[in-house]
Amino acid sequence: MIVAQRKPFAEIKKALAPYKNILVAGCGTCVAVCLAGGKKEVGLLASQLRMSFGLDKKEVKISEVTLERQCDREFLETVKNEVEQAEAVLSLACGAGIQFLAEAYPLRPVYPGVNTTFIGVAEAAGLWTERCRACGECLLAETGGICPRTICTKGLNNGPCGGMVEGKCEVDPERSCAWVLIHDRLSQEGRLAAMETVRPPTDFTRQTRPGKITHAAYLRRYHAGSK
Amino acid sequence: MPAPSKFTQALASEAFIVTCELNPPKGADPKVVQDRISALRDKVQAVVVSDNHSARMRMAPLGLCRHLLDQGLEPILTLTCRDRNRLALQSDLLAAFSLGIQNVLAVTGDYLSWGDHPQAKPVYDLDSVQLLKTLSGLNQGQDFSGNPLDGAPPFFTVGAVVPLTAHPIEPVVMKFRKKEAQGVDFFISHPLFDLKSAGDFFQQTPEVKTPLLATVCLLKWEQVAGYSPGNIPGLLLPEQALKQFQSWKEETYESRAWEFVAKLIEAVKNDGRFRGVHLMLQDREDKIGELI
Repeated sequence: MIVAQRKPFAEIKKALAPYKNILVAGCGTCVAVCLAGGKKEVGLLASQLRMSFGLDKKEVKISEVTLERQCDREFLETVKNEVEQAEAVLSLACGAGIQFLAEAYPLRPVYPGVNTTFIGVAEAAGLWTERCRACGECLLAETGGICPRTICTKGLNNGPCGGMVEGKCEVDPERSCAWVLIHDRLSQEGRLAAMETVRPPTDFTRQTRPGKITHAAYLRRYHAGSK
Repeated sequence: MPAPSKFTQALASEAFIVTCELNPPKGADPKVVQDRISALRDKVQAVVVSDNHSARMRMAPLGLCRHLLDQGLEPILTLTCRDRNRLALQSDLLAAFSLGIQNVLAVTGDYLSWGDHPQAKPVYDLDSVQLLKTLSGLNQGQDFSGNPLDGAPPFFTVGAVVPLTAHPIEPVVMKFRKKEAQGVDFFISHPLFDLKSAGDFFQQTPEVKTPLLATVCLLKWEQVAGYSPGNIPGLLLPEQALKQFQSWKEETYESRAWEFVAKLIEAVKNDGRFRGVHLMLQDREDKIGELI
């Protein structure tokens, strides 16, 4: 899932200062799971904004809505009334959702309420860690299911750097060195030879921004006439 | 075609090799390090010029290497993968060779969080193994994409780094073998403080033929006093050495540390597994005369 973290309250409040009618829009998918922008977080933030503006003796209407997903036009259409009745929208979706909401409602200023951080997993209660860098050429088959491009801070493709200390990363001594993990895993699986391969560098053409994928079944619909 | 570098000739000889690290100045004036340059003359076969050491921004080693050549010293250009993508690495290498710099030490590079520009974008487009492969390609007259180089190809003498005392050693040995397979001419170890700490490495690689230089490092008092494993990138102090260093009083530390370094150089010389010693004197190169 995409992991996000709510922006500091002061930053959000400052951005919203010019408005008197604000819609706080949550997203019910990834950001809900990582407790940054789901229905519950929308409620908490809306209350905090009401109280804070109230203490400033400022009359501001704060409404709340949470969509199933903000990265899908179908769901964005369901909040047309709420968005159009507000002066501005504070979106707690990931960066993709925020942009898609802004695109769907070009007359409404849309502000981000979270910082989108990485693609990760819920490692434990309240703990999310990165697992994928979306590099576009997955090499997990060769590395025992552990991604060196993500778990190694330097994204090295051919083994540990010289900074490893007792199996830990030079950048964060609490984290295991990706290449020590890969070595141990491949060793357990009995395929350590996979680590001897000299791997080519990452192909960054796969990461040319912005990414775009067309499902094979839709090629004719979106690319008719194009080469 | 220019002759092979003096360092290359030394590698081919039986001589015990001495190299020393030199950090470029943090500024545009090479005179800042002139005393150190002068002190190294006739003391070492080559000077390894570091590349934004510990991710701290300094003069590019390419520039300082050229200053060394002008003064008759033999430079080894360190090139990290941290600050340059594959285009910049290759174009810097071609520029270096055209300026007479023939020796290169290819390294990954300490992470940016150690340095003075922690918010910079880390590159690591290539890793050290891939950089070594690139160097091998350039020496054969083609760039990383396989395009031919104009004119006579360079003939770099290529070095790599190996952390002999790392633990666990197995993944390190695997990477060492990958580096060796790229046609490395010499290896330089991470700092050693005793020779027995490298035992596991040598046990796993009895067949090493590539010349290996042992790094001997003169630690500063503050580094010893504040040492904890991992708080200085690339530095692993064995417990016994740490205890010994910390037992020395601050007033006598300096002289004892120099004495320790001198003894360790002798030990490396007598050991038989090393072709030479690489000194890391940490900006006190002006006192190299006390050792060599």
